[in-house]
Amino acid sequence: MADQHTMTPADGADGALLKVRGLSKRFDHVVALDGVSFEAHGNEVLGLVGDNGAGKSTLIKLVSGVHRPNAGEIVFADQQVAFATPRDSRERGIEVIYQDMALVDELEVWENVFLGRLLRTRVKTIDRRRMVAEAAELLESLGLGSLSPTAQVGYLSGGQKKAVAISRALYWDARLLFMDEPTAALAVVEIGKVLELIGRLRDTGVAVVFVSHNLLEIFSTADRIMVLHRGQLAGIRQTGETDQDEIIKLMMGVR
Amino acid sequence: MTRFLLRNAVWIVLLFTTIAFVAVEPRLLSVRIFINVLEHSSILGILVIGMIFCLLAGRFDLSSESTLGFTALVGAWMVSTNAFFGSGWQLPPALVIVLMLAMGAAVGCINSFFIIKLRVNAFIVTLAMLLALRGFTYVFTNANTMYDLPPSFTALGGYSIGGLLPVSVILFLSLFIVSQFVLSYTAFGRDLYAIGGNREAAFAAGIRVDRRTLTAFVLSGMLGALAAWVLAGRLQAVTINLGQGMVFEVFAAAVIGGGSLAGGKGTMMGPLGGVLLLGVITTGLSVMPISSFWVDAVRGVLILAAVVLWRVTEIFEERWRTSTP
Amino acid sequence: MQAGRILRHAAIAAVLALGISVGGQSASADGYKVVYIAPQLNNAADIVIARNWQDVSESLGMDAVIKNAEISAKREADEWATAIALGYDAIVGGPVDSLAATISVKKANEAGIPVFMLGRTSAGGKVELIARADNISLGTIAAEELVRRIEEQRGEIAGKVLELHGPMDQVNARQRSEAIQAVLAKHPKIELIRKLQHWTPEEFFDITKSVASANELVGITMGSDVIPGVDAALDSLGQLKKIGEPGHIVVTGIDADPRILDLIGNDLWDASALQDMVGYGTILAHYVKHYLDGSFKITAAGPIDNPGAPYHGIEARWNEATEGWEIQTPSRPVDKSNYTDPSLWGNAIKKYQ
Repeated sequence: MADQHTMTPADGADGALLKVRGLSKRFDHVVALDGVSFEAHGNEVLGLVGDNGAGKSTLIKLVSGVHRPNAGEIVFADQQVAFATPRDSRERGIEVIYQDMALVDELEVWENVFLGRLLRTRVKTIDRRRMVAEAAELLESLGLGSLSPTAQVGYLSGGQKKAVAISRALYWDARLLFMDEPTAALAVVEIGKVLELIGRLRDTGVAVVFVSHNLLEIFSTADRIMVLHRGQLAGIRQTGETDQDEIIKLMMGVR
Repeated sequence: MTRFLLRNAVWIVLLFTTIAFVAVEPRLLSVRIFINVLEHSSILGILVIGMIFCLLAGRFDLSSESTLGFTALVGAWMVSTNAFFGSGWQLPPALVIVLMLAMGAAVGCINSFFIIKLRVNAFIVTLAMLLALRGFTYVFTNANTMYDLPPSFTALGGYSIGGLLPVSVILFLSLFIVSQFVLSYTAFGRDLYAIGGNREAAFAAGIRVDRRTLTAFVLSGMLGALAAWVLAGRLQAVTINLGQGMVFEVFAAAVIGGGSLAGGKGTMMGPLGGVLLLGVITTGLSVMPISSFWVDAVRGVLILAAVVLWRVTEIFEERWRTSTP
Repeated sequence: MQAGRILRHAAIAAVLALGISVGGQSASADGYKVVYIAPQLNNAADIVIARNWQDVSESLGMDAVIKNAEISAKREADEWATAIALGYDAIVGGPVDSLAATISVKKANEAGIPVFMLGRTSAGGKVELIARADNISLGTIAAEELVRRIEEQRGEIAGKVLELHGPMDQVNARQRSEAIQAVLAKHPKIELIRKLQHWTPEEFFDITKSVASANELVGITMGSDVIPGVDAALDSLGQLKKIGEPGHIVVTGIDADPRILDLIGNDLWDASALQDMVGYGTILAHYVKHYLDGSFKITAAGPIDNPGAPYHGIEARWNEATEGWEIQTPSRPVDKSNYTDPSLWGNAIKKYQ
């Protein structure tokens, strides 16, 4: 179950794992996203930047099935998809680490890791023992061995919570991983760990879409940088062929 | 340890209340009275289970007492052998029971439809359902008391093993154990905690929030119908006001037992303690030679005290949480 | 978005609308148009009061309409206002709220419409005649029947008696209970256990079962036997025995609900003090007709003298608060000897099914 998505870690037949064409979303009369097209590839980190309200979060929610688009098409692994719920997108191998982390404070770490995909025993009861063990193993492998899988998430620090959120996305061997501000509110040491992790994931074939306000992080991690401005695509650049000034101008809508 | 005590405060209160009652009125210390408490608690208990399912998912179900009243009356109407007040159909009890449970499930479906699809607040939806079912109850049966119910229909609520242990007590305690198991060990139960704790997170994680919510309301409706069957059997008669006002006791028991109105927190065993506490208070006051004028006041004060105590333990728990790094 | 909101509101409205119950309507006839504004039509007793009054009124050639206040003082005031505006020849009330209804009665007085009261009354305004049951008589008969039958069953008037009484802020409950206590106080060997209930079957069952578990009872009586639960509680304790069998606990009630009549027929219930709803409704219907015809009016306190009328011989009293006359129909015991009497409301209701 956990490794069904790892069979074809590379891109679809013609190169791109995710192809988005003309994606638009309105909330009442507010246009949150307006005709955005882009591609994301395996073995690549795509940096996603833009000012507040540029449409970054909306884009993630559309691709992951939280919201449904008003227009546009999404092609994932050569198949046109229309995810009705995040459940559908997760089943296809799309994971999201949300900015607000999307954890349930009342539940323990292991249960948050397996949220929505609880492992079951043969008699269909939840397999608590196995989930606790696997969560412990996962935390250990991420260098978070000090974090108990049975700790209640509500009692954890911000950094620890972030670690749980990241662990959850990683457990499921995503083919496409969205990370919405994964470094926000973290200590410098922790930021370093997260950035290192992103690099490692790319090397295992995952397509990572990395959202950050910090351009230094983006430039040090991303292979390409995609800029949104007021719901529209302002531009996509190879990291090596651009600089911070250009990206900032794109973010501000200056052409 | 402190945390364990806080979480189980209701059982400690139950213990002390029982000791205090017995000290004042030694006649309370008898197997028969003990069983009376359990029997009295069974109807409330069954309704509370349904409420907890909904509360855990972060929703209210105010309508269960009406579901009880409605299904009891319609069921009794269909099954009654009385020539004047029944339907005259005298349907087989087994069929009537199935129909009652189906009606309960239907109520849950309708509640869920308004809450999930039309996104109306659950409080308003189930309150409207409470009133609507009351209205239907009046219309349906000409407001008569239904009686002359066949023995096979009343057995669940009325039969006692060895003349002492009512079947309804075994049923209600089993239901608590089963539903605690469901909460602890099934994906449905765990998902309810996630939904009540953080609905967006649950949805984003791929939990079928709508389907789980629907199931919770359907269970609540069916448990209402089950309670109706038990109560109709116990009373051997059904009136139109059956269950009226029980919603307050259901809330009280749920809250005393540590259920959170905000959802995502609580167990089945806590509310069971709450149900039994209310049962001890009610039965104790029935047996004690206390002036009638005082009964309502004493009961009110005791329930209030229990709720205050619950709140105090919650504050302690919050402090404990915030003081932990 | 807007459409969604409208749909949501419509859905709520639909659910609420379904909850509104139906009121009775009558066929038209030539003659006086009279209306009875019922406090509620959600129980057998209130239905019998209304329907019997309507039947008798129509048989006297009046056009009788029933309206339902649905236990709402506001709704009741609206119904009164409508009735006054429609210019009925007489309005018969049965207030949900005696104080609130006073205002409505005064408005009817101003409009020159005579007002009558059935079963209950307003606290003021001018009311021509109040016809209701005598609560003291109900309580007295329930207690006297209890005492007499305990003696028959046990050979002496002694032992523990349970009384299930209603909330003391309700006039009916208080008067009945005080009458019961007054009778039982004359028998020093009776130990009275009084328990408050709020007219729910669950309470009737639980209290009876708990008290009977902890005490050896010789008798049970109650403020109303319309509420089931007592016999089921005794049954579940194995203490529901037929009259005359050893260990039979004497049970008497008030009102004589149809279910109780069946229990009496099966020797499982001793007696009930009849609330004669058929009687006082019939009396009021006749009196309204006579009043409107101008053929008879009560003019003095004491036994009414109008031979041939159903109220002949019943004592009329002056009611200060409502500046008019009042009659309280006395109760009578119902037991095995007369439980099939078709004039009992518990039997009369069967024709309204």
